[in-house]
Amino acid sequence: MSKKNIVLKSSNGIIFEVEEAVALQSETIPYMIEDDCANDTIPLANVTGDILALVIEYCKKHVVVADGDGGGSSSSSQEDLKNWDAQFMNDLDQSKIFNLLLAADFLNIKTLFDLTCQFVADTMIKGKSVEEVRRTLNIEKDYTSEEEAKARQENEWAFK
Amino acid sequence: MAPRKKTSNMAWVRKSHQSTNMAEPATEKNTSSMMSESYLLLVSKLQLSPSPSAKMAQPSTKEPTFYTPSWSLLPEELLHIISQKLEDCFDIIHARSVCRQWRSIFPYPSSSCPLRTTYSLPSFDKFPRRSSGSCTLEKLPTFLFRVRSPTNALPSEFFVGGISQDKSEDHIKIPSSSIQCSVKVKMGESDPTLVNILDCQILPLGYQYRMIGYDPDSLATRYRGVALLPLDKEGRGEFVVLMGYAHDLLVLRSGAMRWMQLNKTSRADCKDIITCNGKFYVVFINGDVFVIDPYSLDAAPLMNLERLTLQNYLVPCGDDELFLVERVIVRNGVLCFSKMACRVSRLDEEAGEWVVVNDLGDRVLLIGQPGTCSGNSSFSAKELPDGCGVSGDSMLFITEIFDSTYSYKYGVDTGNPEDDLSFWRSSKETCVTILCKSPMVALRIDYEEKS
Repeated sequence: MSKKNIVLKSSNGIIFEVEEAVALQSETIPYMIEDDCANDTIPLANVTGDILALVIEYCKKHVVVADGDGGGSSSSSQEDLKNWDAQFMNDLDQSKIFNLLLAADFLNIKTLFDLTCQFVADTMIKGKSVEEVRRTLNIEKDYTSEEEAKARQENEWAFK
Repeated sequence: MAPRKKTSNMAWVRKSHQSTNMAEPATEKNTSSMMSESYLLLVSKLQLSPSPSAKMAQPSTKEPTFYTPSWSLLPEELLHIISQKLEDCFDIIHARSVCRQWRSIFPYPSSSCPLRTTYSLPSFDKFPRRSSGSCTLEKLPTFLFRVRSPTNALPSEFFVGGISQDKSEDHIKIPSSSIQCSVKVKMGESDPTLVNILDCQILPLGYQYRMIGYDPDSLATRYRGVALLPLDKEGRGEFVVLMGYAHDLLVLRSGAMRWMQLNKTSRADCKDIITCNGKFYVVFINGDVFVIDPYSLDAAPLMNLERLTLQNYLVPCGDDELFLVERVIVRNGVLCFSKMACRVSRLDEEAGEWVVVNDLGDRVLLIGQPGTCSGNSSFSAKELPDGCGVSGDSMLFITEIFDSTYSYKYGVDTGNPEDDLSFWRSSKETCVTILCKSPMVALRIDYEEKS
């Protein structure tokens, strides 16, 4: 029995052909298949080729192999997957993480979205000073001096 | 394992007939322009109002290799989800200081880390007569702070206590360039010091309840400790308060808002009240322990097989474990605190009995003065780096009359053949000096020379 493949096209015209099980980890793609052209290419106007390649790499790793033998067994052990996820995220630069987060949201791949959100929280916000967060995430301080004084007050604690 | 399919399920296909109208396929050198394109697309999709970061949205810079997205362009709902991934309330408070948008999206941590809460209750001073006055019950989150690099100005490595926002007048001026979270520490008569929260390791220890204006440590007061449990009925914020007062246990329901006497418990005075897994646990000065259901207010005794001592301490561990520490009073010989022995039991809630344990895993039980800043609590020593002086599987008493205490371990060899070794005794591994007891407990851990 041959597996059905799905063709995805990135915003900049890169074509990816993937197994259906890989693509269907996205909850958005099934709707696109229904709505559009079942046998044709699915255009993903919000995702560039390099980000789509990452998404597919992730989905391939996480695809649940539903072969005839036993069925539904995971392709890797949970522990291996966790390590792989950590390495996968660690290798990405910030702009990739940013775009991956948007892509995971648009394609509605829950596990990838959660992974990316957690990674952002853990590595870019947790344990960082306010100035470090602004610098790392390229966010400008837009407080008036009054608002800043309020923020400062909120940050002052004492043992009671 | 099943053999993997040899065929690649991802193929790069370049459709030549499309290439004239399409953007060019990705190659190394124009990756950045591609990203800029998606970036523009994102900007237009979001229809951002002009913001200081809007100038970041111009992708036509000549140095595309330094492309850093401004995260202020992230859709708010995504930022909101990221904000929910932060657990530590201080991380959230920090994040709220980043910019206006973040301040509006990161909610003040009242649910993830409830901060100081107060309840106004009718006064109980004239009980059983009703009083028109009121009193205030305070719920404070308590933490263990480990200062990563103690200094001369702040010689203590560990602080245990409840914190709340500093509303006092004597603010210490901090450099205007930074808006970091800090905790003011005042030890004794010395000047207060600000400790940057980022320089600390912070372990939450739970909560403590205090009746404002009553010091259970004082001999004059008749108030003996208090605890509150929420009654989860349709989220109407109802609660039950249990308090030890004089020789009685008083109870108050938020619906009725009046104190009533709770009978059928111990004949002795209450020593401490603790909540665990939705129930009240009361320890009395004669060693009795009772469990009280917050709904029915039924009280049931929790007895050990044989009673060893009058000195009992209840130590909650997380929200669902409870330990009982019994102190064995040595009747013969010199009374020496470092030579006292303890027995530790864990509550088997289903069976309703205490099970003696000789291993606490990586837990450290902290035993302090009931109702004060050093109430009983526990933490995992696994979360502290090695060499902090507080190893797991031990107990630390910070209620000693003297200003130093020793950690207790199981089965310490006393060198005296008459001693029963199946107890917890001071291990003398580390000597903990209590530098300050109020408003928080400051501890310094000294390492004894091995001779």
